[in-house]
Amino acid sequence: MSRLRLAAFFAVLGPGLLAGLSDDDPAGITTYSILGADHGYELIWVLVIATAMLILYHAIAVRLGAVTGQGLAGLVRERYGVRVALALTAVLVVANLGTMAAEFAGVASALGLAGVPRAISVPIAAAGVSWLVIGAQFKRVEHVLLALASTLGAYVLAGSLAGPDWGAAARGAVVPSLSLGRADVLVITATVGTTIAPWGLAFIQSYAVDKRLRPKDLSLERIDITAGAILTGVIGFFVVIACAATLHASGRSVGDARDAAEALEPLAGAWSARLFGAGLLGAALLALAIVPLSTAYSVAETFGTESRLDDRLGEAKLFYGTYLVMMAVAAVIVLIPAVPLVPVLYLSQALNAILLVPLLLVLNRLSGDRTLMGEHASGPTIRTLSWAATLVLIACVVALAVVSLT
Amino acid sequence: MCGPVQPSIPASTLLGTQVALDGASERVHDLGAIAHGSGWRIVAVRTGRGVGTLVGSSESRLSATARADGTEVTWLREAIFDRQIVDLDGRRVIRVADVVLRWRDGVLTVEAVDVGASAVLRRLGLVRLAARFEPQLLPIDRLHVPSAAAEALLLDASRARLEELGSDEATELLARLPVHVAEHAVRRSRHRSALREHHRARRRRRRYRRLAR
Repeated sequence: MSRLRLAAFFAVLGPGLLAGLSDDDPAGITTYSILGADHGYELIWVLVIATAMLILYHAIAVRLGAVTGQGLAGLVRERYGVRVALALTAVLVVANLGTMAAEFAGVASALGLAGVPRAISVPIAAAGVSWLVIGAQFKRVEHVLLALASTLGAYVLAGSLAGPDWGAAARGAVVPSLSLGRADVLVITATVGTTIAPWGLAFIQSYAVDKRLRPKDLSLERIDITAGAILTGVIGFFVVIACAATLHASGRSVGDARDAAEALEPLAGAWSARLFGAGLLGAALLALAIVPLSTAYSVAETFGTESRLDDRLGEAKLFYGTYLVMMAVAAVIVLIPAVPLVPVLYLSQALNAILLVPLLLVLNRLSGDRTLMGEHASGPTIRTLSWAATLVLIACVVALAVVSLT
Repeated sequence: MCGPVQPSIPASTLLGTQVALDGASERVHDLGAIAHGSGWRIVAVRTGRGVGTLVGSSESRLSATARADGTEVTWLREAIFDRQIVDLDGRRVIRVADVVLRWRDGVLTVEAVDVGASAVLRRLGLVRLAARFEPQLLPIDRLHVPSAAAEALLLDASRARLEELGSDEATELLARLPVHVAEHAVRRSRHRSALREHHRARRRRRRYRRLAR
């Protein structure tokens, strides 16, 4: 790669890595931990499929943003009217609030391992992340977030230190095995749902627009998207094998990512557990910056006042106001002991699953629309793959609804 | 029927109302406008049955006849509602929330676009809340309205204003815009040569950077 092309690549780097890696948030780490602890190496192939779907849809969202110069909510308003855009954004706001509560709970859990109480860790995390996103320049925000994402590498170390059976892990990744029991359906749907999140799709498209990506950048941006999604999958893989090698082998089960970190200590050593905790903190802080950003972009686009991360506070009141209100409300939800956290998290997961289906349908439709996308409209291969992925997701959501109601 | 100066009408309040199309009652799906001098006037209505030529209004209801000529019109809902307004620096300014119309001498003219929160709230059915906010109007002659629905851009400069610029000024202006916005700006103006010059300058700049390296 020539120096010029390398410089161009670094200039477009960001959306794919940030949107991908923030999917490995505490909810994601919890899901992967349960996948490994309860099912061993058997269901790793689900991660492979989820990663492929992530590459596909992140590429579609970035292409839409680069070609139209508009975020997802803005494009929905333009194509389907203000009522549809508002309905979509309202559901996204509620679902994202629940997701952010989960991220705060992740921060509290990770720092709780080091003895820091929730009443201190949550406000400091809220203030610190808000200060970074609102106070700093776009480039600096991006660099700090990418540095934060690198802490997820702790999971790779934790997984390696746990002494996994590499042969079984490789077999689990390529040989699908499935028993259509309730537990399998739950964990498969949760894995796909935690990997492809509505807030991630809304974020990556708006962020690509904010970064002023153009159609000519798409070929280099594909590398960023693919790298981001594959790293997301690889980190998920190491979380699964860390839990499969230790917890599954000793017949233990976990409830969340903190349980997993604590349970790992006697089985894989203190370093593995500490790395697991550090990864959890990095994952929670990264997602804590990205989820409200996704909401702020969407709210501003719905009301027609598109804003950028480089805008000052006074220039983008709705954008930054949304960001701060989301951060404050989610922190309060986690801090008030009377608010039952489990139903809040359950509701947000359900809303995310419900919202994902119409979002994927909209992405399929808009990306194939020649009047909108011109020569960049999806070709027959991408159209077939994206409809197949949407059908897989609809099947997962229906199966989840069936097993939840029976 | 219509006096010389009538109150303004938000176009969104006409969509979904009844129109007498050759006597039959139909629901208005969209309103079609054509440029007329420096302004725009509504000349067509689209219903579930087809397109009609607007002939006026009676008893607060629009009336139209089956459309005979094939004049190309700009459909408000398709090409203007919810479109983004981009300024001359290529910045995304705001979105069109509604189009303000007014009857003038029996002709339904486009006065302005409303970009305020009141128009958004009214379209969401929150009429009382909408009344609390002042409309934010942007006169239609300050906007360059793209002819087709393909691009979501309205420039904060009229075609007339672009044509007032000299070729050098236009070239400089276009150099500051994203290429696709610039192309829109000159598509129907006489500054095609300015756009060609702009493309040539960009190519020269790129080549120079490569040589310098």
